Amino acid sequence: MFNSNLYFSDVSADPTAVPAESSGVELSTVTTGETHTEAPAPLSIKDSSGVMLRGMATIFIVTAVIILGVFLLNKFCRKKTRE
Amino acid sequence: MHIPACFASGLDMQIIVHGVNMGIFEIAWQFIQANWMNAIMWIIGGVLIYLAIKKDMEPTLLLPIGFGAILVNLPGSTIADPGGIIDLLYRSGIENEFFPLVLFIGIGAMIDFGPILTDPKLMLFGAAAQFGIFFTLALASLVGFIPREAASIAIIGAADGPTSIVVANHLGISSNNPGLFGAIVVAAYSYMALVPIVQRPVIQLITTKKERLIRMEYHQKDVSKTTRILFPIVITAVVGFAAPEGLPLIGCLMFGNLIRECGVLNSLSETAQKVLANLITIFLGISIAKTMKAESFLQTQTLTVLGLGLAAFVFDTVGGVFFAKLINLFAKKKVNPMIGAAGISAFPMSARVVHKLGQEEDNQNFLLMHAIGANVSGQIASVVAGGLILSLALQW
Repeated sequence: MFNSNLYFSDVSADPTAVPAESSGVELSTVTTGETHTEAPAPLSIKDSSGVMLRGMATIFIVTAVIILGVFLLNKFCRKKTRE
Repeated sequence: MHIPACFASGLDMQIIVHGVNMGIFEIAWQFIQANWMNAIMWIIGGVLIYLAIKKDMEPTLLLPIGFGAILVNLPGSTIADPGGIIDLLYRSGIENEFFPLVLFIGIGAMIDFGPILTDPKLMLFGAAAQFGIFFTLALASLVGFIPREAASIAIIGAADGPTSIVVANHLGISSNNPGLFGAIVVAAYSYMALVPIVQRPVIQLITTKKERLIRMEYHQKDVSKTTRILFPIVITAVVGFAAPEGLPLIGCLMFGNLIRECGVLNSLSETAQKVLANLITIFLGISIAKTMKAESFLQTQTLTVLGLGLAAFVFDTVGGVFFAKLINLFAKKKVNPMIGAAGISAFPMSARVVHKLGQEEDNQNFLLMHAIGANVSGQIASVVAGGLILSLALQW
């Protein structure tokens, strides 16, 4: 949806291409080098559920590591410095 | 062109425009026909300015965004066209993500992570309250948005304007679909401002009075200076390892925090918190207007994005509250489930909402410090989520 056929197109026009008018070449034969990539389809329910599970699992794992890090920091740094 | 009969009546004063005899009403009608979309944008801009000034909702951003929306939609306005000041600001600060990332340095300098250093398990609520992001990703895909668009819309649930800008920009939305980009940014900032209105009914709906009455003790603990200094460095390393795409976000946030906590850069910390953050906020707000041209902004997708953004905030809240309820099934010391709702990154509005709701049920129930802890952990978790979404979406 939303102009998706032109989405994320890889436009690589050749800067050295001769303008059609001056070269006398028919417009239909001029190659600009434009290639339009079809937009990917929306994620399926199965795919997005997978992303949801994976994402939430990763966030909880990162959080667990941070909690462990804070626990260790509190344990080993408390006595060394006084505020 | 059809002109209403009243406009073509004899009462209409005749003047000559470009050699053609025209009535004033006729000119007005032609003007309205040519500019009705712009007029809608002026109204939207006016509403944003009203919310900023009268309702005090994120005035630092809604006001510049609102004014910018009017500015770029005035007839003949070229301010957002190539060479115009708004275009210049946009290309210098939004397109290359400079403004949101530098703003993160200021935000980092403002945040005191003390509450989560005192009670690190509060960070779990920050993680749980990112549920809305992934739920909205699924919802946006279901509605028909392609993966990168869906990911950019979902990140509204991070409740963090700069994160939304960086993620959407990184995924190419700002250049490929400026209207969608504008809608995402406006939704992200508007819902942040509307947190008290959005979260309150959701929390009340999914918690019982008995749950809202749960008291939580708060024990003040000393946190050493070394811990405060090492914390931003450790977080940057951990998040950078887990979600490298989020490194610019977390790096800038934690750099700001390190400046604050190191104790030897007080003047820099003060500058980052005030002057730098304010300056960037001014430029950021007005630059967003580039994406608010009527023809690209006034599309059905804008309404869809606003709906999905609301869903993201609602399901963030639901995720946090239900996670707290889950913990209560096993924990000896019960947690007030409302704390889970404060796990979203909208700081400090979300913590205030939770504290207020607790006070309304029992004026001796002080949840503020716990809520603040969950709220600042939401800041970190939202950046982690942003990095994760980027890592995933860049493969799509």
